[in-house]
Amino acid sequence: MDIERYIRQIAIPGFGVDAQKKLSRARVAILGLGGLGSAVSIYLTVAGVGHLKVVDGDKIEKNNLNRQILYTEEDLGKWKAEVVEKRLKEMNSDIEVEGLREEINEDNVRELLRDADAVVDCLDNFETRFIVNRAVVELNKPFFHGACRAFYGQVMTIIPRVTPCLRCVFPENIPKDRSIIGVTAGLIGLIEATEVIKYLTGTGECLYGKILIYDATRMSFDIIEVDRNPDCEVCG
Amino acid sequence: MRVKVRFYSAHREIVGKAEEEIKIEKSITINDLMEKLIEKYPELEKIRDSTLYSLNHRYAKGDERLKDGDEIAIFPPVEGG
Repeated sequence: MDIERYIRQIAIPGFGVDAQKKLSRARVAILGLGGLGSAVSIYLTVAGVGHLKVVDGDKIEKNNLNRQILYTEEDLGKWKAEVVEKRLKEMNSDIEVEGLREEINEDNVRELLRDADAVVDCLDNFETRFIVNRAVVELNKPFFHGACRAFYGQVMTIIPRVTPCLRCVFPENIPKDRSIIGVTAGLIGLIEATEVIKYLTGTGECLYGKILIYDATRMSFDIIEVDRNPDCEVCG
Repeated sequence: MRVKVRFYSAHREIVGKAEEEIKIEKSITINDLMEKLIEKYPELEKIRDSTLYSLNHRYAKGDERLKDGDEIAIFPPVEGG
């Protein structure tokens, strides 16, 4: 671990070399490499999270470039997971990055998450989120949820069977809407990345049983407290 | 009785404002309040099924009853990434 590289965060009172070592030893799976995944993966890379598994089955398209800040015009048509692996390694040679060109589904999700200390939701649909949610509850993995649209977003951090899971809170039929501006995805991704760093280092309190609702149009951050649903079909 | 309703995301775009005070004659449920809102803003009907609620900053089900001064947030989960 390159101490000099992280000296400014090691200097944070209560953080120190111990917290940095916790980051360095951690294995984090980032699912989805779009707007959220760009912000999450860049900041976990520069923070020195020791092993990142970055997963996405898509190629880079022009309409990604308003928010997916990992990619340049020259990357159009390339596989996201391959570009991200290369770029993150260029940003920090002190960590390991594994790029996986896979669509997440019922058949591969458990294998993808098995060795992760934390799972970050940077997905773009709730069908896949619910597949991952079921797997993290079975495997007992902390799960960091974020989602965004237009100027709005939500974040919640899940410790399976301790705090509410996605199924305790969210309904099936969430409206599809692809409208988004990059700053919203960036901000929600950064809150998720902050939650991951706090969880891994034992800093402060995470959004356990709390949905953070972000509304950029009035620049408000509201917290809604939520309990586990004892009848939840996944974690109840 | 009066309650304060806050709107987010698609709900806010339909209603055209961030919050509104609603006068209710007697104690009604959140579902009843939603019916009143749909009467006033019929477009809300389209996203009713995916609507989530909070009552005084706690997640709430539609059958919870309101009292004077309550603050209700009405929001659709967002999906994108």
